[in-house]
Amino acid sequence: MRRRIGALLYAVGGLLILHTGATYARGALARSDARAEWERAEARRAVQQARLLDLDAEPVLVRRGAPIARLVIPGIGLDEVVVEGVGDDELNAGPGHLPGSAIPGERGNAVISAHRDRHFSTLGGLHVGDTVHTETMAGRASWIVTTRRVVRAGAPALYSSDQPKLTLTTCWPLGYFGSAPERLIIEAGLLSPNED
Amino acid sequence: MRIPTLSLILAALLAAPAASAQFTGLVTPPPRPAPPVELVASGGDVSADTTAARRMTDMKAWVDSAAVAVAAQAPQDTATPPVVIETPAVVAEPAPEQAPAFREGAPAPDTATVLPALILLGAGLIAGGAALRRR
Repeated sequence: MRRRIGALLYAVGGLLILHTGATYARGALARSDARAEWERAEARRAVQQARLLDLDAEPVLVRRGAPIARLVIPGIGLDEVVVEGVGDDELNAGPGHLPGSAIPGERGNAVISAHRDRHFSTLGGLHVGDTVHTETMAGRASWIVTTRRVVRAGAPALYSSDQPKLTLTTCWPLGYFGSAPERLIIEAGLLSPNED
Repeated sequence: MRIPTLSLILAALLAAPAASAQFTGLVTPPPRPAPPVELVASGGDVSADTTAARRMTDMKAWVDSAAVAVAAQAPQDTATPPVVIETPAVVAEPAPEQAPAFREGAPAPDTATVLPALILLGAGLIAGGAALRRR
């Protein structure tokens, strides 16, 4: 009887790990696809030489899961392609751009979120004064971190802005798993748009 | 509680939602609607009435309601087996979930994930299973 229960536990545990591994593998594939798609889009942009950053540009509607930006934070070794949406599938593939928020570099608040155990696992190492770089189809921009705070999970945290603003969020505390009672909110102001 | 027992309970709790399947239900006929009281003449009324004292105005409605009342009092046919209807696994498509989007004063998106916890749980179950099988 003990051996049967042991086999059952073995099977259930194996299935759980298999399921989790498959989810991570799907995420890795989606991340790779997003990066490849982003690079193709960048190549097209280079051909078109459409690199001017227009702060008053009309918002562009993009499908969920499509790559919309590249996020580079040298201080914490982060280089990720940001996809549109913050659903499970999108966050499994990479940092997600909150729909309805501004595209990084445009006028307004651009919100990017990611899992604390995945793409933003090192976000805790980002501090006020650090630099962040973004790249979109409209151009490149550099940002400087202006605020870093931890808020309760349901607390109001995202506000619109008259100026270009970048907000990075993830669950807090880092290094834990399960539900997260708090959120890490890092805000950055535009340092220099259109570096190209 | 011992670890193998705890692991078994956790496994059963986790497996329950995934094991939800198609069910076959025994459907009993719904109760018949009660006849409108004001239109059904009772036996006492009939015996006390005279043609001169009561005037029936809407005979069609009265006859219809009386038919419903008679049908409601008819004995159930117990010889007929109950009708078994197999219900489909998916009855209706659930309403689309509200996708998170930016709005003024919105909380930060929920980026917590259960995947690390599932890995830990799976590893625990495998360890528990191994311990049980070794004995």
